[in-house]
Amino acid sequence: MNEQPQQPLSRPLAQRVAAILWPSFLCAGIATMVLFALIDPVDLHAISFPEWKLSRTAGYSIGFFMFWLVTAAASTGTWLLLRRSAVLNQAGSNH
Amino acid sequence: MTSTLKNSDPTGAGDIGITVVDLYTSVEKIYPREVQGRYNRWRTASVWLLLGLYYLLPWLSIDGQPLVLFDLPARKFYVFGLIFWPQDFILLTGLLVLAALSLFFFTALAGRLWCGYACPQTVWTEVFIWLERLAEGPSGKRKRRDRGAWTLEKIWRKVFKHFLWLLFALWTGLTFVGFFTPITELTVNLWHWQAGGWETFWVLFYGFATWGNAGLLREQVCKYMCPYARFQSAMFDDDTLVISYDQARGEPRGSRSRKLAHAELADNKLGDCIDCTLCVQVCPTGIDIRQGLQYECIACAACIDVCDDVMQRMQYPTGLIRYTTQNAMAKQPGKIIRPRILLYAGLLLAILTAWIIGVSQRAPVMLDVMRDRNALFRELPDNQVENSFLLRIMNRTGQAQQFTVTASGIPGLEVHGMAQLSLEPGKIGSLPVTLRAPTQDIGLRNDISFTVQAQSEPGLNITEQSRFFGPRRSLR
Ligand code: SF4
Ligand code: SF4
Repeated sequence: MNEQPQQPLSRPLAQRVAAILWPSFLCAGIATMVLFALIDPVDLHAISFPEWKLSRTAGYSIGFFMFWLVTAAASTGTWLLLRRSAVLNQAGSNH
Repeated sequence: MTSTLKNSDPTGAGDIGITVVDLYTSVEKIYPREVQGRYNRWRTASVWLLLGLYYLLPWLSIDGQPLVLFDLPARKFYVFGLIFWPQDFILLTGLLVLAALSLFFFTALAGRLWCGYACPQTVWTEVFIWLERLAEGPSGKRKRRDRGAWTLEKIWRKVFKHFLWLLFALWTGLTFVGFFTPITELTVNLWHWQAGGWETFWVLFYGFATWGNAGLLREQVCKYMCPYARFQSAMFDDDTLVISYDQARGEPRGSRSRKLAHAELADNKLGDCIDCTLCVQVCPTGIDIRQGLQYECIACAACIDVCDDVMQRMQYPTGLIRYTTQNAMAKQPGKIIRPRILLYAGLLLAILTAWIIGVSQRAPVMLDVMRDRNALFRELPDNQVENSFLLRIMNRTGQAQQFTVTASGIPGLEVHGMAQLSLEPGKIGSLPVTLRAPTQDIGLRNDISFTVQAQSEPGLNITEQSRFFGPRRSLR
């Protein structure tokens, strides 16, 4: 039986982006659910930026994207730390 | 995009002894061959059932009440005749825990059943492949055309495919948003270009995600993006049902003429696998099941279907690739009931019971009594004592209600002033209530109870305990 091909050091860009965005998307979804089950975006709106005109749907959406930003940042951090030294030592590499 | 990692970079950093071999295995496109057979029929049935439910449910209602609607703008969930409010959050959490536990349970029992038959990724990919086949023909043709030059036919077929995909993806996005906001209005509004910005955005977002995941990424979602694929093996043991190739029976593999088939077998030269590689060609994740259990395998059973067909044509017994367990393969005794299964099942049952009790015990009215924090009591000139309270009432029924508050526990106790509150469905209201009682009838602290009664429904009421304080009497 043929041998397993050697695993590449770094994954293609699309895979990396997907691996960062997708789990953070799921976590942001859960966090959004928990937050807005406990707090009505309308109430949140009243104590934060009452001068802006925001509907509930806008509140949910903005909340979700803020969570996603944070979770994606955490995922990106994890990816940065997990890169192998061989990749880092490669000058001019941007992975 | 990423071709910098070569050992020829001018800085010489590549000379520090790192050998880098073929860093960028670009993902090769997989053209899974069409397959027929009983498991494929199961999957088709599952696709119809699940997608049928998905596309239909938002449109259904009973007695003017939507059957399933997570009405986010109104903060109110309708689920098969039950109504949930944000206050029922704990029940929602319970439901998620139940879903996760069932996934564990079924995975331990029967492997990646979820992946092969029920995961939205699988189900939508299946439909996208049907549409692709409609526009571009079977996989072999598609592959040849993709490698060839851009002809007029290739162009119109591709355009037609993406057109079909787009329509289906948009419909999927619309349906998705329809689970969270009333779908009839949404459709009418979208049709007239009057839907809210965010609704339109989410329709497009979900549509785009479907198009990308089911149309373009496909098996890559399972291989590189799915967290479940990475931890499902934690639920596996040697008695878990998996799809496996029977090494002992199949090897040594090799092609043979059909006439010789049985004679060569008898000579023990060859195993049952004729090395037709059909099992590899049908595999949507592009693996060879004959190399053993691999995390990429989504247990779609396409390889079982195709190999059974080959075995039948060779007049060998079917099941060279089959649903089996590691123990059964190794001819070890296996058992279905084992600690892991019992644990998952026990937890599942316990939480399910608690959840059902929780749902059935939900009071249609909720009442919270808080005492006025500023003063314990107030003495009035006409030999009466007054206590103030704040009542928080929640109307969890589906209709608007008018509530009346009464109090009891002390002779002569009466509610002073207005003690009525109208509440829209799902709303919480606060009502300040002042109680008065004659001084001679009360002690230092007295147990009393508040009752909130809905005017339209005699059966709809709730009682909550509290305390009424009085002055220390000088004569005692
Ligand atoms: S389909 Fe069956 S016979 Fe053909 S290569 Fe696969 S295991 Fe062997
Ligand atoms: S190995 Fe077989 S069951 Fe697993 S994904 Fe491939 S075709 Fe499906």
